[in-house]
Amino acid sequence: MKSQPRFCSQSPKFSLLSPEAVEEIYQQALIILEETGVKFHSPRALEILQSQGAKVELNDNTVRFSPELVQEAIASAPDKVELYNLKGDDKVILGGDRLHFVPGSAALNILADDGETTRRAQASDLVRIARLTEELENIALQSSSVVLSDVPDKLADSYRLYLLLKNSSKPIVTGAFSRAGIINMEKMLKVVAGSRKALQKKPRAVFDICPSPPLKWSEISSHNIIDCANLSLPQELISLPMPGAASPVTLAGSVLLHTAEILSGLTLAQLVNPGTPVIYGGAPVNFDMKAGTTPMSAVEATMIGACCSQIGKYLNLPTHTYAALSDAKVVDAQAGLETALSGTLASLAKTNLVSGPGILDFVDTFSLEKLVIDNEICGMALRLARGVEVTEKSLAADLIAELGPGGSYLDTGHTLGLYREESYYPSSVIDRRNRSDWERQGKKSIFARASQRIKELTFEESPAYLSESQQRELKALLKDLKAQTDIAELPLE
Amino acid sequence: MTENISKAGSLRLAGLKLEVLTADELAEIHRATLKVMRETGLKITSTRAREILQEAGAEVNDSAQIVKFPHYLVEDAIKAAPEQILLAGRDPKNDLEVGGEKVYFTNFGSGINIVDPTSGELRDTTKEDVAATARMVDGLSDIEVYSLAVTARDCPQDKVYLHATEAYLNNTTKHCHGFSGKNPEKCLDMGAAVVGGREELRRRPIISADVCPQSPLQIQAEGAEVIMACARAGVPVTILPAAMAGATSPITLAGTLVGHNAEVLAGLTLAQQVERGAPVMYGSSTTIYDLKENVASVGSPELALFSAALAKIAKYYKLPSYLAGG
Repeated sequence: MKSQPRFCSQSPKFSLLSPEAVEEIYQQALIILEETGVKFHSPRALEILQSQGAKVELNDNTVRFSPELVQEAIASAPDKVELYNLKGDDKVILGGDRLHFVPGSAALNILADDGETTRRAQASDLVRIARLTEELENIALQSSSVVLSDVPDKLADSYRLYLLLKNSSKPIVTGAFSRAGIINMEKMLKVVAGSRKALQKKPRAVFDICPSPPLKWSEISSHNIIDCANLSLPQELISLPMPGAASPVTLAGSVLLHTAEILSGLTLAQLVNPGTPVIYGGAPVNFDMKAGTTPMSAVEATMIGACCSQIGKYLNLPTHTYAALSDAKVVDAQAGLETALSGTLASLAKTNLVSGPGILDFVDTFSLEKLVIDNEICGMALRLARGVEVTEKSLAADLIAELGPGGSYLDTGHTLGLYREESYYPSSVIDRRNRSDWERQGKKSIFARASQRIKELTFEESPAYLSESQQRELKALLKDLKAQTDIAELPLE
Repeated sequence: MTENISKAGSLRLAGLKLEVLTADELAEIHRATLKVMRETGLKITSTRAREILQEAGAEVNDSAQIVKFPHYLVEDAIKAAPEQILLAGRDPKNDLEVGGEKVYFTNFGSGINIVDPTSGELRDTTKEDVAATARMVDGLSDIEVYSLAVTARDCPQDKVYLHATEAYLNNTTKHCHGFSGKNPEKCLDMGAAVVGGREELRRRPIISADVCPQSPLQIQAEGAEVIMACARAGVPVTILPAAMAGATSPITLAGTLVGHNAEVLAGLTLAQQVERGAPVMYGSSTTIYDLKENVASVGSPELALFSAALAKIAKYYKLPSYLAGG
């Protein structure tokens, strides 16, 4: 054997579409964009698109794109997006075969710590989730994971970002649901970054923006795309194919519709500001004709997500999908199996950003206990994605020869030196004790072990992430926003 | 599905793929395995098995019970072993052809405790539990093979497989996998009694055996006898190492794959020497050894990686595989 390791290790790769099928879907999407077109319910978007050479029908808001326009847009979009932490000394890179997890968003309800009842989510819940996420080693980003029932709609988007900025240091996935949302939220990010230039150099947050399938962008979404592009803020375009309802019943047809929708939004963003960072995202569901519901963790939804990632990769774009979540109502075996299966497949498909941990019940409910359990699923998926390293050292043929039949590997230097790298060691949430230890320690369920870990990880007081001047400036900004929107008081101010 | 594939210009079904090892990596694992088999060898405690292998050209040290395999012997055995194997059901509608790209599921095997379905209490497993699990699998549409789910702990220890074989053959029409132990010929006789003789059993094997080498690099006499009996009878046998990375095999996944592979190929070579073309499945229940909790964790991501990698290795050798997962 040669002394140098010659076998460049590969991480496991899973794909559902052949290269020919990917090319076919892309070509068909270009035809849809050129012949059928996409509706933008926004005079501002229509004006920009018309001035940049798209064919615009003003009477019905339909925009048709030439293949050249779309191809140029794809070429100008960056192949990776970097999001920075608070200090700016660490970053999450989305692109290539990298894999990161972020809590799912955005749920209306919180599962109470009895594991059964739910109630509307509040500002204090977002703070608890953020503090917990801060401590979870396999979840790299924060998200505006819940909808705040105690905050008026007009400021509901900006105030979530405010709470995350105050209570966390990881990069953030957020979104705006008002016309002015992006503008207001950029002001907050700017305060923390120091200046617009500093923010553009080291962006902290990415903004989720969704079309309204099939083939439509609302006025707010159109505005969000344009505002993010103008300000060079990373944006994540998330289409929601729903086979048999908002997209063709076939998986391939749903992937095709998804491709056309994302490319139309991406083209608008690149026409506004060539080179602005865009993530190719998705939130596929299946439509259950029997139950009349839209399971996000149906295996078909996960398959659509994996196909969409493959298309995004083909176009050299960073990718995102919803996965590692469940439609179960409580933290039970269904929650575990759906989260693990969809999370594993999305990881093997090398989707760069997987959004879902913590989520139950069609993204209606968030559970902190599930979040710490899902953190272990993410850890296992990250281990799996690293694959089997084959080098002379890892093959250990010499060691096998040295120990021979019946030898023990337990106390070798090879084992002690490499076991942490080769194996993922889960926290106490995952039970690996033998039965008698498990019985002696009270036969605790995974929910009880998760509750215990939450107590161990989170403290009453959040560390002061922001300096006094940053806090003062943010407060002043908030005061202005309250005055503009006639809001007298906000929770946890 | 065949109609779909035959349509001209169709792109369907062409893309599903999971790659864990590159062709280069597979070749390197194969080379390292052959080196271990030739230079270190395996300990095989059956005198008869060592004689057969020695006659075939292996270098045998009888006092140390070590067999060193020349490359050609192993590679010839890989070529001789069949790519497709029939796992017959007592009812032919449950027949399975294993090998190639098809995937089937079977229940996990060899439990020793059961949560009693009526009392909810944990207790030792019995012969009646073997019968009950076989009946249950008979009714589950996506579990296509019955693997001996539990041990008949209420039966004499040297006859547990005989009692189990009686219990499962009477309770399922699906293929039954997993006999082993001291009386392989008698288990084979029981299978033959159901189908109408040894020749019919060779044509339609409704049972198959399971042999676990003792990692690292050892095959016990009892296991070797089962391998030889099955080869003579033309009944499938799975060589199923259950290495624990960090305890009975190297901590590195690649190193464990090498030792694991050597154990399977040693069993395979023995089978092919007894009867060329003997049906053998490439097995695994290999996983990591959790050094903190001192347990072999089957829920770990490493088990999934081992099984995916070993499926690929089995495919590389064109052998059907029987792997842990789920």
